[in-house]
Amino acid sequence: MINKFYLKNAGKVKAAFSEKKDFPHVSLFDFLEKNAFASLRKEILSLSFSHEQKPMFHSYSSLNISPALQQKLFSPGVISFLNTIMGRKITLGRVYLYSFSQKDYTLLNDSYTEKPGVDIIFDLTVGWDSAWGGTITYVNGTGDALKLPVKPNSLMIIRRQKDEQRFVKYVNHLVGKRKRVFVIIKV
Amino acid sequence: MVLNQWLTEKYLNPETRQNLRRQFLQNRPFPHLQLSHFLQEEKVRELLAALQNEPFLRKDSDLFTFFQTADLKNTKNKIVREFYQLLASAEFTTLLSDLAGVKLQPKKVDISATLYANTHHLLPHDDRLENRRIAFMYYLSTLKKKDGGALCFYQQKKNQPTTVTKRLPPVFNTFTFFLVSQHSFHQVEEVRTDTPRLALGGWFYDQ
Repeated sequence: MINKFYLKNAGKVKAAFSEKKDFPHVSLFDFLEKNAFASLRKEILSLSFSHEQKPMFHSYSSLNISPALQQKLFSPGVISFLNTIMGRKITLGRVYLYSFSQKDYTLLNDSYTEKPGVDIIFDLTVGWDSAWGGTITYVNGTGDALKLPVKPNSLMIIRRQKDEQRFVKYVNHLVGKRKRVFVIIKV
Repeated sequence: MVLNQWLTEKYLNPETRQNLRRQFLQNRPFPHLQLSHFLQEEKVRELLAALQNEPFLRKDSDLFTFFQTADLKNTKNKIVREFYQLLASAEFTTLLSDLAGVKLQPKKVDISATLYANTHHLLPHDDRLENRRIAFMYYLSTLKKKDGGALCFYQQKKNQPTTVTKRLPPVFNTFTFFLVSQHSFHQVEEVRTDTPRLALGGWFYDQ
């Protein structure tokens, strides 16, 4: 199911993930094999998301995925690959899917900060223009930022260090009725 | 008198001020006021022309995207500096203190110009920082309701914003201000037109 290139080069991916000092991360494009991604995406887009709005924190739709879908998304092969990259055995908690459409966003908020950890993001968004917003951005309070590319079938692994927080930029009206869908899990 | 060189006559009238003060306190979801036809026409024209020479920088964060000038306190532009001096004057601070029923620090005001282009926005926040007491915007453009750019006020419950209950679209030569408090949740809705939303804005401080 995983693109064979990454399976063959897991060691190099691990090295790339470890070597960056600021915002350590790797972006793995075309992560799943084409057919596997298409089938997974079709299944996910047919699900019903619930919209949630807390103006000072966020506006988005989300879904706690079923154990069966979680098994498809993070198959034993994917988990084993992630274990190799991170150099330890990971345990997945609850996995949420997020959908951002026009007027959705998340805000940084001093009353809610995340502890250091690792974010694993799998992007299911096809045909997205970053001028519409919706970019996942990591900041550390110094003015430096990491803006993740919006590409379908990409897996991004980001080590959140002390004082690093993430937000999703406001999705503006140019997006029309399109939606941005991705999974974030914190390890 | 600085005020009578800039403000339209109605705002110099003590009786008008009394009515405005009442309105300010009655307005919901939190005290605010809009003063239309605020500056004398010639002054507005001069100010608008002068602002074309101020450098605007793009500002982008989780909360906003817009173009903004530096604080205009140190501007070299004569007419913009005079506008700053008007707002920082003891007379203007007294007028605003009187309308809002709060004591403001004279000569302490932050002012910058902002320009919202298509898709620019400012998401919900309450403006509370240091001793900010009054937030204000002076509009130099008019946008139709469908074009966005309105200043939106939220109703609150348990000190958290719930829903927008008031929308104030920008209207040329209107000075809008509101009381900064733990309930002053507001946003500038996304601009959905190529007509820029130009305004001067900032804060007055508690004494």
